[in-house]
Amino acid sequence: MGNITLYGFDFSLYTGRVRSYFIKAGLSYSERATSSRHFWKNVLPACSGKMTLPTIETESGDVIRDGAAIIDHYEEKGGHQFSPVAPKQRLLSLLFDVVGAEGLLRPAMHYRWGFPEENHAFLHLHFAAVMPKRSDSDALAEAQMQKMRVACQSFGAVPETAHLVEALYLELLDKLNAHFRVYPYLFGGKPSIGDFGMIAPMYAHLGRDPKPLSLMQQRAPHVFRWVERMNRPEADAWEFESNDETYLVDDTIPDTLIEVIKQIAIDFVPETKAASLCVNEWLRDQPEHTEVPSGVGNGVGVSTFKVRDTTITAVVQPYRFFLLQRVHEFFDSLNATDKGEVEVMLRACNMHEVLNLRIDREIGRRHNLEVLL
Amino acid sequence: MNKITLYGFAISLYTGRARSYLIKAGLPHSEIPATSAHFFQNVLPVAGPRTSYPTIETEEGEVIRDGAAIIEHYEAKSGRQFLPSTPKQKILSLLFDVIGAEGLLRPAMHYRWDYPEENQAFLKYHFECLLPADAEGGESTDDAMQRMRNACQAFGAVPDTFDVVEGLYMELLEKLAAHFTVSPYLFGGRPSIGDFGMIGPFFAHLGRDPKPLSLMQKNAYPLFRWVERMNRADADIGEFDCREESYLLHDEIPITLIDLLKQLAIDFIPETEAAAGCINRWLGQNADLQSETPILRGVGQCEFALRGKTICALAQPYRFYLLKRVQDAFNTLAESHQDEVRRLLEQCDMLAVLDITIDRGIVRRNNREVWQ
Repeated sequence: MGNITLYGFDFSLYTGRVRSYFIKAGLSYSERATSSRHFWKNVLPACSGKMTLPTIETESGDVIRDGAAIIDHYEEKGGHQFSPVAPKQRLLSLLFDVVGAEGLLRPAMHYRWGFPEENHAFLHLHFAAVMPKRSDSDALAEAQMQKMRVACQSFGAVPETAHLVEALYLELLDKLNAHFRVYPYLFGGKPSIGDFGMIAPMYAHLGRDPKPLSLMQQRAPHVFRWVERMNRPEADAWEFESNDETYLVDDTIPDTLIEVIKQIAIDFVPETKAASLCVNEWLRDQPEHTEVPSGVGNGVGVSTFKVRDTTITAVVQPYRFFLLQRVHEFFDSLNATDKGEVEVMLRACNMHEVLNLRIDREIGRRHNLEVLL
Repeated sequence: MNKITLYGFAISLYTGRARSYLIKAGLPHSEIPATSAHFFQNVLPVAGPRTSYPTIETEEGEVIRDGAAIIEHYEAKSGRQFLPSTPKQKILSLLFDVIGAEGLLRPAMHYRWDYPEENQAFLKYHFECLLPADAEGGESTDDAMQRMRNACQAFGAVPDTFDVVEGLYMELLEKLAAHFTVSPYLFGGRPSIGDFGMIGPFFAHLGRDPKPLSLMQKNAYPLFRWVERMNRADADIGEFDCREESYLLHDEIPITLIDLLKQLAIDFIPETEAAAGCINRWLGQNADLQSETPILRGVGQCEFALRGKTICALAQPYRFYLLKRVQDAFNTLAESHQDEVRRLLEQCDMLAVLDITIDRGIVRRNNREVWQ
C-alpha cells in the first residue's frame, strides 16, 4: 500500500490541521506541492477543479479535498479515535473545530501580514518557493503576497481594529497558557478533533511566522509546547505527571477550558450571529447544489458587528455553518439530561447562543465541494 | 510491541539528535524525563550509572545511554539505512556527526545563555518543569540556570569572544542556507548520520530558543526548513523539484557542502588540534590511569587563536571518540577511494581530521565511554 499524498504548504493554515492529524494518527504520508503535472491532470479534476489546500490522495488513489472531509474519512476508518464520547467533551471538541477553522482568522492574518519588518522576508521565501521556477518568480511571489494581504483584510484585521485584535489575542494566549500548563491537550492526555481544529491557526500562522512565534514563545511557553506536541507522533507530555493518553474521566471540563471558551466567545458569538443573518439572506434564492464560496476573501457578503465598542466588518463564509451544523447535529442527538448539562456548560462559557445560530438550509458535500442541499 | 522510552528533555541538545533519528526511522517512542522511580531503580543502575540525556529503554527493555550509541544500535539493526555507502559521502557524514556533537557548542551556548531578554522566561519555564519549585533543600531554578550558564562559558563563548563567535555563526548560517536551498538534506533527498549529528545544536538551541530561532528564520529560511524537516516523519521536500528520497548519485558532493565545511573548519581544526594536545598532555600526566576508567567530560582548557582572539575551550575526549569513527572508516577504504577523500578534505580545509589523534583509545563498557 502506498503512502497518502498530502498536497499542502508549510505556511498554509488548513494544511497544519491535517498534517497534525496524520502525525498523531500514525498515518504515513508525503507532503507535496501542487506543481506536478500529476496534480493538475489527475487530482484537480477530481475536486471539480477547485484547488484548495489541503487536498489528499489516499493510499488507494481516492482524492479528498478539504481538511474536515479528510479527517472525517480517517476518523470513520479509525473508529472515531479522536472524538471524545462523553457529551460535553464531544460537543466542545466539535465547537473548537469550528473556532479553529473559522474563528481565529483575524489574529492569524493580523500577525502574519501586519508585521512586515519581522515577517516579510520569511513569507516572501515561502511564496517564492511555490511559484513556478521562472526568472520573474520573485515578482510573482510579491504579487501573490499583495493579493493575500488585501484578501486577508476582509476578515476584519485592518488598522482600525488592530488594537482590539491584538488585545483579544493576548488575552486568549494567556487563557490557553493557563490551560496547557495543567493539561497536555484540550481534554486531557489525548488530542481531539478540537485540538486539530485549533492547531490550524495556531501552527502555520501564529506558531510559525516569526513575529507571532516569538510572541508565543515568550508570553505563552505552554501554548508553544502544545503546538510542538501537536506535531509529534508521540504524546510528548513529559512536563505532566500523568502519563495517561486518554481524555479526562467523567466528562470533566476543566475551569481553564471554560475560561478559554469564554474568551473566544467575545467575538465568535457576535460574528456568528451577524454572519447567520447574512447567509440566510443569501441562500434564500440559491438553487440546490449551489457551491458555497470558500477560500481566502470569498464570501456571500459582509457582516458588521461590534466588539468592545469597535466595529468589525468581516467577510461572511457559509463554511462556518457547515462545521457548526455538526455541533448542532450532535446536540440534537443527545437525550434531555445531557442536553441540559451541555446547555448549562455553554451558558457558563457565554457560548449557549451558538446552539441556536442555525442557517435555514443544510450544507453538504458533492463532488468534493461544499454545496447547499 | 512495546514502544521505545526516550529519556530526554526538550531543551537538551543531544536529545534532539536521537529524537530526530527515531522520528525519521519510524520508530514509535515516548519521551519522558528521567525523574520516575522506575528510572532510578531500573534504568540508572545500568546506564553507567549516569543520568544523561538521551538514554533509552528499547522495545525489549535494554538500556542504552548516549545518543551515538542509541543511533548505532538501530543502525546496526537496520543495515545502516542512514549511512551513505559511497566513500566521500560516508566520510563526510561521519565528520558532520562529530561537528554536530562537538563543534558547534560555542554558538549553541552563546545564543542560549547570552540573550536573557529574549530567552530567559522560555528557558525558565523548561527548567521549572524539571525542578519542582517547592522541592525542599533543592536548588532553585535560578541557581540551576546560573550554574548552567557558567558551565557553558567553558566552551569558549565569553564577552571577549562574542564578536568572533557571532561573526562565524552568521557566516555559517549563510553557507547552510545556500546548501539547503539546493538540497533538502546534507547529501540529497535523504537524511544521514551527519544530518542527525547536526540537528543536535540546530534544534533545541539554535532552532528553538527564541533569540537564535528568530535569527534563523530571518537570515536562513532554508535552514529553518531543514530543522523542521528533520523532525517530520515524511521527507518533507515539497518545495524541491527532485522527489527522490535517496542520496545524491555518483558520490556527488555539491559545492555548497564544500563551502559549508570550509566554514566549519575555521574553528573546528584549530580547536581539535589544541584539544588533542591538551588531552595528550593530560594522558601523559595520568599514565597510570586504569583501563576502563570512564572518560571525563573535559580534561582541561585548551587555547587556540581565532581571528585575532584567543579562545579558551574545554578539551573533551568525546570529540576524539567520534572522530576515531571517521578515521576508522577512512582506513577501511580502498586506496583509490582514500585518495579521492583526501583530495576532497583538502578542498574543505579539513584534511587534518584524518591525522589528529589522542594517545589512548576510548571504548564503551557498561554504557559508559571509558579509556581503553
